[in-house]
Amino acid sequence: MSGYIILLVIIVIAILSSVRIVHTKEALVVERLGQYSKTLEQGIHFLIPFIDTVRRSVTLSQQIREIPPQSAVTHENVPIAIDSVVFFEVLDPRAAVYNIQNYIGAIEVSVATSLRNVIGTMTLDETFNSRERINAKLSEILDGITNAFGIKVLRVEIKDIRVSHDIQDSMDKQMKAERSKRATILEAEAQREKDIKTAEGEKLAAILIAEAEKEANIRRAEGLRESQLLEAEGKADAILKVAEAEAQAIRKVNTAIKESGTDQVVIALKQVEALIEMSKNPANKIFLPTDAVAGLGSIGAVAEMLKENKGK
Amino acid sequence: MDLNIWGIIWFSLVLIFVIAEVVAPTFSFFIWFAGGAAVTGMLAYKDWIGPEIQIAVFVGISVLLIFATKPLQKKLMKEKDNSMDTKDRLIGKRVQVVEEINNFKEVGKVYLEGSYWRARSYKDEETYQQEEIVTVIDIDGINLIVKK
Repeated sequence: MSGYIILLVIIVIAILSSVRIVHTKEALVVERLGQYSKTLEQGIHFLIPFIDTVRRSVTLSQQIREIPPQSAVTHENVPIAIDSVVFFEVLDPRAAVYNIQNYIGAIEVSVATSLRNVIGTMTLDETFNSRERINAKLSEILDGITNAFGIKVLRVEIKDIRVSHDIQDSMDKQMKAERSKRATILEAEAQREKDIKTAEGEKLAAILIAEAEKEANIRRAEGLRESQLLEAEGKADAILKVAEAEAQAIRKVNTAIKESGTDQVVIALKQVEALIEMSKNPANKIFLPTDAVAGLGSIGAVAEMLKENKGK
Repeated sequence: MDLNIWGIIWFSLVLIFVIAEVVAPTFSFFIWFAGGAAVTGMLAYKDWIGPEIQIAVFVGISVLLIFATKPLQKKLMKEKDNSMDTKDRLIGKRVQVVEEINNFKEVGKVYLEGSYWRARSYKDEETYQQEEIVTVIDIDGINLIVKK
């Protein structure tokens, strides 16, 4: 009786464990009676108890593995120690399980040896400076190896590269020399620029001064010319004004004479003045207008006057 | 009626299987075993069959149910979510050719998401030069099949 109970218990346990849940990005490699049967993908599956066995559970997500420090030698025979990390992904779970015994270990070893291989073709500087080239070369080598077991090595990241002490020293020295060289160059350049700017500044200043002077002179000359012009104009004006004034005066006199109607008297007076002149030098010839005939009456008086003058 | 020990056992199993079914994240097979246990329990309760037959009946009915309801099971199964599959993730991506792709010369490399991948043209006659942009249409092993 109890035997059946035990049997039942076994059966129930088998049933309960026969349902397998496969998670996302996971694969179950299943054998039926020792032979590969199927690869179970994400979801729920029922495996026949005792007949179906799970050979291996494989992650399909990217995996990361640390590669222990590898000693390698660069192209110029410089020994280095290189720390790296490998990123890989299982693309074919069946191949990964059956074509190689331990695919994770296989990856680590493949990367380590390929890395040494690749470093050997590069100079020390190149290993420090070009991770892309290292990856490109590595993928060439690794793809061929890992293809066989359905794995893709996505990337190998270099964590650290170490060199021996004296090489590190000389690298440090080189770096310092480079730095100070650059510093000196920068200083010299700065100085040169400063000198150039100073010279340019001075040149500009001199030009400005000269130009200012030139302008000043021009203005002075112009000022002088203007003032002279004004003087001359002033003088001309003055002369004109004087002449005008005299003309005006004469006009005024004439007008006055005409208005006063005594031009006959004036003419007589003028005749007298002329005769006085005549008396000074008898040789003088005086031309009298015919109007003077009217005034001949007074010649007698005039003649007397002449004699008196002679007597003096 | 005396409580039949086997009856109790079978009905407890019904309970166990029902709980298992409920607990399982998606539809699973426990329900059928619950059914088998239920049937067996009813037969055992009446003491119509002996223990060894009960076990056989249980297994028999359960398996029958599993196979008989395969169509129903298919309907109830959740749609597979393939979005995370690498294949589906990479197909459709545009990549740059870094080494001439030529199926005859057996060369070809592209750069995708930080990695260098071997690449083959979808048609032997078509070759692609460096710096061209192509699209991934399939993955064969670790080779990407590309097309312009």
